[in-house]
Amino acid sequence: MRQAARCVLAAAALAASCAAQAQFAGTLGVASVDRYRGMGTGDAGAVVRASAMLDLPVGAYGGVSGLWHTRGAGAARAEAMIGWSGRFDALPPDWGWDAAVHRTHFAAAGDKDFTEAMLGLLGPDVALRGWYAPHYFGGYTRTFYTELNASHALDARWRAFGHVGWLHYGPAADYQPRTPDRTDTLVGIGATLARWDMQLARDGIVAGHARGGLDARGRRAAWILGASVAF
Amino acid sequence: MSLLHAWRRAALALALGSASLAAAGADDAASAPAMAAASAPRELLVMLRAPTAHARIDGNYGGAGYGDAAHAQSQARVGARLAAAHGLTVVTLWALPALGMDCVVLALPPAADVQASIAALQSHPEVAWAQPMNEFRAQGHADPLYALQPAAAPWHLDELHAVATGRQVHVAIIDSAVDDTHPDLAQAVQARANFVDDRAWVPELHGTAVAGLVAARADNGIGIVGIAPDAQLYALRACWEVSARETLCNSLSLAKALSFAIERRAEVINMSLSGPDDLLLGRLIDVALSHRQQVVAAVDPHAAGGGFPAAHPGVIAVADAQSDVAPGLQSAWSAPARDLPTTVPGGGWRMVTGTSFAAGEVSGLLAVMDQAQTRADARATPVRLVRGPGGGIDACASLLNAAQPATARASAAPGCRALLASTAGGASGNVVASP
Repeated sequence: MRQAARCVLAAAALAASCAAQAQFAGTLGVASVDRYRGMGTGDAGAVVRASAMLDLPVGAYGGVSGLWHTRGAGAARAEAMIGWSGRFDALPPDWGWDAAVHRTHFAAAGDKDFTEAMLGLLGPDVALRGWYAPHYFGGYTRTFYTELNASHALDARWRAFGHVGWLHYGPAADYQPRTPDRTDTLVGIGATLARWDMQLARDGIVAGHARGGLDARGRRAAWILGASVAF
Repeated sequence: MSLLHAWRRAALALALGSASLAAAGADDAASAPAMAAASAPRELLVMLRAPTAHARIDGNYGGAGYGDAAHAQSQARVGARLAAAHGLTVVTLWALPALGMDCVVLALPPAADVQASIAALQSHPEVAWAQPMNEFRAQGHADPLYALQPAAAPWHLDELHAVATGRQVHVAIIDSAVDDTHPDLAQAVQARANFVDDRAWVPELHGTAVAGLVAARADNGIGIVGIAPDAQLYALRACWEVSARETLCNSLSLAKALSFAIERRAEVINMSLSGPDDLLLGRLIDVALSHRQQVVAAVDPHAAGGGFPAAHPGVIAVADAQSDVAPGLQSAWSAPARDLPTTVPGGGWRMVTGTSFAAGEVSGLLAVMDQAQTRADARATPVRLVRGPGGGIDACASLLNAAQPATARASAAPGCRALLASTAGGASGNVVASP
């Protein structure tokens, strides 16, 4: 919690120093279920999420988000991110890179808090990112998560998107079996209507285990219906 | 929603203003550039630097960060802040990922000075540049006559079509609305899009005429044969007809259409229009050229240097083969531009004259050449037109230059090769390649 607060403070300080030129984006949304990299994070039905992100002209960005389950069984979650992004001079402007540090905090399960560092390569409607976590979900093994996200505009309003991610666990301690890797996917369609973004997606684990995390049922796949409004 | 209403009001005002200008000058197309200069723009295009796409924290898998509501809302706030600071009104906002920017259209109050407003806006670090909303005019006009297809004989279309017909090549027609129900354009239009706000898609003369010259279907027993009868068209409406003899466009509608053509990777982009230099359109054309897309534009014989976009570096400028090329644009290509039969809305055909239509012919020829280009590096190297001894386009040499020699030998076009050998000294003989 203390690290998340530090991230929030750092983002706020950045924002304050360049507030005049910063670009702010905030969203408030609901989703039928919360899923994280193909895994459920709580058998608690719909979730509400609020987020705020700030972009500075120099390329720095930061943001915070909060997620609350509408039923009691799941844990609320807070996230903070601070990073930097840029473009490649020699390439078209829709190519770029980003790097960030991301902290996740679980209100009712503080032992599962974790921090990740990310490096990404961005192309036209596609993003390839690698995430490194020394203690993924509070565990003792480090993880590398590689993901490829892509979207395709179907017309001015509708888009299709997809995601594939591969979670690799590093060597375990001597007395523990190594956790097997797993692969998750997500495909969906989305629409933007004025201030509203709507998404319908199907995600799940396509290879590897679906145990652990916060989902006691270990569901391998789920539909996600969500909507958010920008302010 | 209020933005939409404001944009509709502004578009209506612009349309009415354009219509009155057109009525004043309808009898003399040559006076068009002077009229354009006299009508001061009342809208500005302000290009905002878009934040680089990056990881997000809102659980959205939207991808590259463009087109989503949060991004649009954020940029709308910047636009509103700029407008408020300078006494302007936000008309609309439009994302331009091809340039890594967003475009805000701001309306000027009646008394505002255009250049002073541009300078003030450009002082903000989030503004890449600001420019006036320019007006463009389609080149050429139509007459209710009919004659032969002038390009058929000198360009040896029969022999060209034995080698290639533009199959699987996409030509973006950035123009007024194309009549995609015309029987001679059946199945030719793969996609159409209307970038003229508040004007429903109604088939219009100029766009339909250009489309017919590019891709009117062959061997259907009716009408004409396009230069690339199997090409697929993107009918992108960025211009609107204010009278039978005048078709207008503006910076924003053209930029939207160009972006569409860039995103869809049309191999050839036809712009049969002319107007003042335009920074936004110039940047988008540069992006298209960097993607190895060919941009063809009509030379305005009344504009110094041929007008924009014809004079823009890298653009294939097309002039009337029967008149002098505009001063300062000696690199222009010439093609038949007079008495060209082509398609018109409603299922008929008509004769048209103008460099607009010459540009359409060259776009068609490029599509044919593009299909014939079978080299492994075809996408990396744009096809190149070849000049004949008289300075005009040598269509056979251009095609053979584009095609792999083996393909040319195996084709059923011995006449074209023979003609090439006898008139131009062979594919590697006395021909001058385009720059």
